[in-house]
Amino acid sequence: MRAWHSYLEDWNWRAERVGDRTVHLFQGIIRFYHLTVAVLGMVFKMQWLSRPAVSHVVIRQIYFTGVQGLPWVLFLALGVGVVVIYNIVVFAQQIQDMSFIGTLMNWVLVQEMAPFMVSIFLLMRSGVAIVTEIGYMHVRGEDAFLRSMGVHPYEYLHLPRVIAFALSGLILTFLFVVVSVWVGGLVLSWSQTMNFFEYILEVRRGANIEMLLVMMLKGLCFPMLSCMLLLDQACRVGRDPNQIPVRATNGVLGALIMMILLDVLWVTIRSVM
Amino acid sequence: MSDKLQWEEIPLFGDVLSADIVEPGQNIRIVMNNRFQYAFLSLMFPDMGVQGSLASSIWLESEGERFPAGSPEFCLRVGSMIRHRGLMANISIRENLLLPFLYCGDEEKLQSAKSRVDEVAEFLGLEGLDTQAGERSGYTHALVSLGHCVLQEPDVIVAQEVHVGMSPDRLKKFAVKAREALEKLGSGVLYLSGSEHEGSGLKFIRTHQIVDDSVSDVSGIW
Repeated sequence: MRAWHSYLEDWNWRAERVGDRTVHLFQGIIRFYHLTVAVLGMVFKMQWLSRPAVSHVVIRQIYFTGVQGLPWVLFLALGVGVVVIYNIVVFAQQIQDMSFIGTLMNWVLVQEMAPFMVSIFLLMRSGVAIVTEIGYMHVRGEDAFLRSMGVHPYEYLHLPRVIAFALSGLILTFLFVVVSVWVGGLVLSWSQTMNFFEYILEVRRGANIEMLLVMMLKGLCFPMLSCMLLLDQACRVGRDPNQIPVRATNGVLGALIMMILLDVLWVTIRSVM
Repeated sequence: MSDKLQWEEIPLFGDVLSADIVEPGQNIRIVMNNRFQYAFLSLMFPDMGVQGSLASSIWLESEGERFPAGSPEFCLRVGSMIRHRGLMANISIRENLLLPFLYCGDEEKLQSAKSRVDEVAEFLGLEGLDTQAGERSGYTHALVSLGHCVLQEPDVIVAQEVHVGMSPDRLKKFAVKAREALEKLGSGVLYLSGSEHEGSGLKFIRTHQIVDDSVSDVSGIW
């Protein structure tokens, strides 16, 4: 009888844990949704343009996220992007169908790799910085200070970072693609794998407006939503500095998983349509 | 016509803070432990979060208009001096002093504050205005808070015991500057204190006492 009770208690405890986690997951999704709606509402209201306090932070964040990150993204494009293009061309030559170059480049590099690589880079470089910076602000009680000054913490702290992530993501993704395609072509012609003009012709043939729109959408949304998730985690630091590394790890991993899930969702929707 | 800070009866952890009005030139004190102070401050400057809801139990009456606690108008018209909550670490002291004006979007107010900021900093003895604030002592937090009040010229100031923990010589300096500034401003002060024997040197027309021995005192939760 006692063994049976113990067995039931074990299962009860497991069920409680599963229930707790599920409730936390849904609470997190609802919190994330509210945060996203509130910050996007502020972005589109455009009041921040008439507030020098906020617009100064927007400029600083764009400089930190976009401008300072540019050399690293170019380096990534030269490394990863060029290798991908080289492999695509070699593969197309092996199957003796050069029309694959444009199509594969469109699918693999432009629509998938570029937005994903840039978002991962932004997450690694600026994402951790965001959680640490905002987390320490909460530890020092600066959110309370802002409220006492009539400054909305979302508008002053969150909005500039979201704008910086979204804009930098979009522009850096575009630059990643441009550098990969052009330098990739030069490397191909230098290694006498393929004539440069022939290569450009194939790229042009595979390119279309839909491809560009998807790239821009992903380049904008992936970093923006990742930033929202990081900010949500940073707000949960509270007054405990020990929470900062925990929240930074949760934020980066959560954003990574969210991007993968969004990509899967996107592919599923497209295959159904 | 001047601004008046008012509140209805506010229940605070089992005790009740009775309704009152703070008018310019009048000092009112509320004696309560830190936990209650931070609870009261969070009603005064609520976390609007994603909902943007405003508490209505505290408000500012100004020229027939009623500005609820936490609204931008309320925060711009009510000065605040909160312990260790006087500045942001990642911007300069100048930007810290000008922050409410840089945020409110009123160009006239901003230009007026910009033209006075050096004079105010000199009066307070704040140096290196254009260097990043970073981690600062309670004394600098208190000075910047006082600087905000001098620039804002509010009719009512909500002050916590910002002098707690200051060294005796700094405390003396701060008390002189604060008294001089308050005399010049003629503002009413709502003073939140942990003890009746606090050393602010202010004369109070009323003191509210909130006591709840069942709750242990904790600090720094807001």
